[in-house]
Amino acid sequence: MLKPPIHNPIARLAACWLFALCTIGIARCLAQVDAARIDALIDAGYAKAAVQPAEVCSDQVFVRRVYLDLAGRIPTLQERKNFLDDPSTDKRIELVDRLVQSEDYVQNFADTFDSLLMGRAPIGKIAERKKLWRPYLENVFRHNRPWDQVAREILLARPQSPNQVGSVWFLYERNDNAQAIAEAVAPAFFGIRIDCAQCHDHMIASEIHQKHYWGLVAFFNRSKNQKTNAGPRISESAIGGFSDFANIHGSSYPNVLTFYESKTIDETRPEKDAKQEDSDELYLPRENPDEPRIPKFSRREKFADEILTGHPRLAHAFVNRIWAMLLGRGIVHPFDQMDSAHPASHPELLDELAKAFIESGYDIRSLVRKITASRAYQLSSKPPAQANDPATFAWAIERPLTAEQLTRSIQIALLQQANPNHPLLADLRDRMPEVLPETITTDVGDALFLSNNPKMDQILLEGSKPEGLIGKLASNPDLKAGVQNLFVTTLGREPSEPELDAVLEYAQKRLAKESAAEPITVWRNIVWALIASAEFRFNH
Amino acid sequence: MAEHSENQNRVTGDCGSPEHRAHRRLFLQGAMASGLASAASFNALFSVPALAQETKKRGKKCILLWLCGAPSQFETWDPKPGTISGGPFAAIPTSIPGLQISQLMPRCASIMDKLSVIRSMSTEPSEHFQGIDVLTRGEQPRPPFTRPILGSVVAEQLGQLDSPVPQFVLLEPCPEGNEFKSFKAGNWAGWLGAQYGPVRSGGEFAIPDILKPESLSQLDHEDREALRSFLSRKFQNDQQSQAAEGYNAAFNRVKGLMSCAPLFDLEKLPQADRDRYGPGAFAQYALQARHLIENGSTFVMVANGMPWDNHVFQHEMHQMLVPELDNILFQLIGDLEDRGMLQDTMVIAMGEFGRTPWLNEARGRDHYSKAWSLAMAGGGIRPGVVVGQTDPLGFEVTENPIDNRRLFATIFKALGIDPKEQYDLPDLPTFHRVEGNVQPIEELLVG
Amino acid sequence: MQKTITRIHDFKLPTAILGACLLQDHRELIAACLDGIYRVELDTKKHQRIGGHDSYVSSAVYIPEQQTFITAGYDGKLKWFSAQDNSLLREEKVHAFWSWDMALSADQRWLASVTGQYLAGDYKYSPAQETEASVKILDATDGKLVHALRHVPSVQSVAFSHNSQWIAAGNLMGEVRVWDVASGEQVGGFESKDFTSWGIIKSHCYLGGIFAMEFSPDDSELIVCGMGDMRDPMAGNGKQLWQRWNWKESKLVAQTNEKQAGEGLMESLVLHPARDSFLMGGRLRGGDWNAALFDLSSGERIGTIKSGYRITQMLFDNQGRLVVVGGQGQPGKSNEGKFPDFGRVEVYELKT
Repeated sequence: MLKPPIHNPIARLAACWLFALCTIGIARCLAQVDAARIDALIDAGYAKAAVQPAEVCSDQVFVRRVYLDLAGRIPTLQERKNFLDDPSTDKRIELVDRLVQSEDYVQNFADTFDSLLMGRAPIGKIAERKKLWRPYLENVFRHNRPWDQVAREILLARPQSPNQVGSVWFLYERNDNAQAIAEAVAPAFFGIRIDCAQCHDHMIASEIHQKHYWGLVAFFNRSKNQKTNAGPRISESAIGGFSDFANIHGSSYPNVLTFYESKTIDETRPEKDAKQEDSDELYLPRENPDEPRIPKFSRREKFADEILTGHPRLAHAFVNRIWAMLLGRGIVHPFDQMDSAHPASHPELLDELAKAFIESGYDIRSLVRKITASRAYQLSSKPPAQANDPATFAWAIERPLTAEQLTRSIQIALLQQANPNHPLLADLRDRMPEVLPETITTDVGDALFLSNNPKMDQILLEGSKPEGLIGKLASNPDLKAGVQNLFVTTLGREPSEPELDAVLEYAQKRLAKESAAEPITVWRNIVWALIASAEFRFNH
Repeated sequence: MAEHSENQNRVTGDCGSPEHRAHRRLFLQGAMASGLASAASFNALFSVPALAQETKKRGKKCILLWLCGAPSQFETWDPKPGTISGGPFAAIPTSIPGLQISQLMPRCASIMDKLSVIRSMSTEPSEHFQGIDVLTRGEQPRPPFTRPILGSVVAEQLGQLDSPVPQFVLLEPCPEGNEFKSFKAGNWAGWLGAQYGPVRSGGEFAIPDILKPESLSQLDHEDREALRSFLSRKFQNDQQSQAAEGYNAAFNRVKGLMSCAPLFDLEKLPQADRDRYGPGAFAQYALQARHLIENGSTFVMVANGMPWDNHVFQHEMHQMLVPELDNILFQLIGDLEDRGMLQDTMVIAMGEFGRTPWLNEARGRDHYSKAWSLAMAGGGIRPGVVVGQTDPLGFEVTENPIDNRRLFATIFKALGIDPKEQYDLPDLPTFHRVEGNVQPIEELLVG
Repeated sequence: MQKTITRIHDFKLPTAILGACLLQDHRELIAACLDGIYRVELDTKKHQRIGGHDSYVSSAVYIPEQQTFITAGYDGKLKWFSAQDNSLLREEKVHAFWSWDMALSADQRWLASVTGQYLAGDYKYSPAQETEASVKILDATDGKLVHALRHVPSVQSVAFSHNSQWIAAGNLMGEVRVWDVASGEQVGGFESKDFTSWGIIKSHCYLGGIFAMEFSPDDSELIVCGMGDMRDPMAGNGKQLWQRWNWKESKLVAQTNEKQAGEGLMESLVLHPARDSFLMGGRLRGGDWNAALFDLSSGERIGTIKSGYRITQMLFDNQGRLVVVGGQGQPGKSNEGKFPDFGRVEVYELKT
């Protein structure tokens, strides 16, 4: 019997993809099986929404995208060339494998998680945070530490080894403010925002209750910053921390130890007016005189052991966040409001990714690898006709570079190397603080900054040194080769003909004798036009 | 509701704010054509055209005093003296016989015949983010589409896009404001496109980086922007990139904005005016709003964080906020009238809802959207009108309930904008400037 | 030594009570309510509205020698009533704005009332200078003005020293000024920054201040109360805070032990008749009490009350029992036009 021709465009496309997969060869079994499963579930979404996905992006688009996502910067000319010249059919996943082992990946992920977990550091706090917290975060990504363990270390805050001492900083920086801690813990580890539940049950996501807010607060309200000989620590009292919270109607309730989608931890509440006496009896014998004593009933430990461990949200929240980092929006969007008001676009996918993440031992690199190997990650950013819902992931969603990524990428473009602490960074971080913004907006202030800020001017001067991009362009008599090199260096692609013509025309006009402009000035203007272009500003 | 802690890191609309990207794309394809044309006639970009002489056409304008957090109707326009709802402040007579307003507004009372009040606002959302959304856009959200905010619509309809003066300005001395802060970070211009979003000025009055670097000549500054714009637009068109569209729209404003830097310098305004408006940041910015309107802006929205959300200390705060507002309205309306601008310039003073007729235990009033008040003047609004009324305790609207749609229909109609017009958004669902075919409030319209 | 404070009696009045005084035999109470002045028999709970002001009634004091009681209100007026027949004897318009608080000197000669409207004074909303004298001292008998004293609005609390020599008044910004009653000369004062919040989350403005004060038994110090700093002034979640100041030397002597305080505005202070402790009361926003007894010398909390409503005034009767007044939130729903009563009167016994 003859097979009927495939009329359904989606099915036809899926068939093509399958064919493509076969020709590439299914080498790395585990990851590709997982990526294929992602593809299947995303495909089902296309069919349901009746959209055709965009094409898979070219290698030169891929190499820029994946360097920005994993290494936090655009590739150098050499790195780009190495990839494009690589004949391997598996070179995309091989590049991912190399990048997640790189120090750039460590720095980039540490940047992102620092912002997501702590918020942008206020001026003056940056140095403090750098001493302990930053090395800890770097260590997490450098050694690919299991996320459940990391979460436990951060929330228990009782470092067991020298490379864990920075884990205390998440609580420590919040300065004994148990409410601030609770409001940070919920999105950071459970992907929900509970701030609204301070005064009343959440109005929109009604499953988030006021008792969850105050319960979470209670787990941390016996904790106190303590400066010890071993460094900052978080001590914990064995008594106190009992209070009532009042709702907006004036009724009050005890703050029992409980949390969203968790049990309530039994704890004897003292009688009203009964005074609790603190005594050594209530604490474990001290093993190390430098460490704070540990209460026999430790609320933080209870939280780590009985609420955090095995909490269904821990893996979901993490997987969704990594997905949002790589795909431009979460499977639940916004990625840290995973409540009933924000249903998942692909619930099955989220569940399976979370399950696989747990089974892998909360292996961050393997998760990153899986997602970057998927077709959804590798699609072109040009939306296909008729596609209009970004939640279908039918095209690669554009994302603005973070201040860190932008600062590094400008330096790579100008000098082929990046100083992570370039003075431009502080100003840019101030101007464009966002990480994983819910929506992309460009303020006129951003445009003014890129146009007029003195530090932008300064960095162009640095690129005007003889070894810098502008310096080299100014000394190259072959204008056309210069322009071509300029596009590849900054945008990772050759100029199109109109672009080449336009830039050449400008350069010739301004370099003509009667204009009397310095070549370095002319090229600085041209280079600015490229690094201030939308194409440079976004990851696409 | 009452308290939300600051989120330093990123924006959270706790309502699940609408997805802003979708569908714009198709609409954009219309706009693409012009971008492509400019790419073809690229050379023209380098000859800097003399700024087109601004034609000061006689257009209507609007100042929105955005009373964010939601003021109490009882301490402003709908006092209930001697009742349990009324609170401690008395009511005073106004220049309209028989009409009383709160004793905290003696100056407005003296010019009540120039103002109009709606006492029967009745809207749905009673949480800030949703309330701000509905009362600034005029309609409940319908994700993933984002309806443009009032200022964007007015700027698009009545503004002069070729003017270097920003047509839609948001003056916000207080960068904070909980839910309003979140809202400010969202997409204001919606499907009209980023070029209709506001220029924001705040903090210590200055717009940072508004002057070009000294190392750069004016010519270089303009040339490199022309080149940037060409490349960036090409990318926008080729990729159908909405992110690039917003990005380029922001750059489009740079030059104009730089040329009107002095307009944003409050220090340049006469000290006598500054004294007259009052010392607070909100008052100073209200004066600047007048200055901007005089100099060619079409819509200026003045906000000051979310000060009106008095869940605690209702009367202790309103005793300060209401007199400030009273004076601002008095000065603004007087100034516009003196300059012959009042009949073309609408002034609106409103928040996102009102406050409860009862006091909570913390001596505060909570959110109340069922029956609340706002005030308007000038710009096609008939003066001296009071629309609607509430019951003796202010619990319910008893006459002529007005929702967000009728309010917006009235504002648009008074400004000469057709409320019923359909947006030209190919392949999008049908959207009207105001949905539901509602009627403007006729009694508020100048005949 | 810990004390248990037990409620032995309670009932309601129609609206919240902002202030109160006990009459001659301490079995009757004058309650200053949102809706007027009530005369209340404590044991029988019988009450009648005997008059009112043109706004909230904010405080009430009783002059035993003259058998008159005086009320003050947010209409800026003071009213003298006969305790025998409740007839209105005199009324004086003392302030253009509210009478926030009123006090009677121990020797029954002087009345003091404080006022002031918080108005924007600068870009950051510091309070503007006063437009009327913020503190007025009147002759308690004839209501004649004795001194008009300057302060920065809004002045929210006032107290006389036990020897009737000094008068203190505290404002929104936590500034307390102390004057000599006879001369009207300022003789001391201090400024505590701990009771006032400036908005950094919602908006820029000042909220808070000192809501009640009492002189220490020997008059050398002042105990003041209110609520600690809030990042968001609209949150109402400052610490339940008292401070003791040496007012002659502007020195902070002691304050709430942070571990013993929850959150909420404290607006009532009273010395225990034994003069070894004092009570502070107000609202519970977070924690487990809204009035507490503190040992005067150690500052330790030695007893608590969780009343379930906002406490505005506490008084000791001549049998050592504690009379507490205040109000719940105003009901939002009526039963066929009649709102449930929300003013509260309670009597407590203190036991060791």
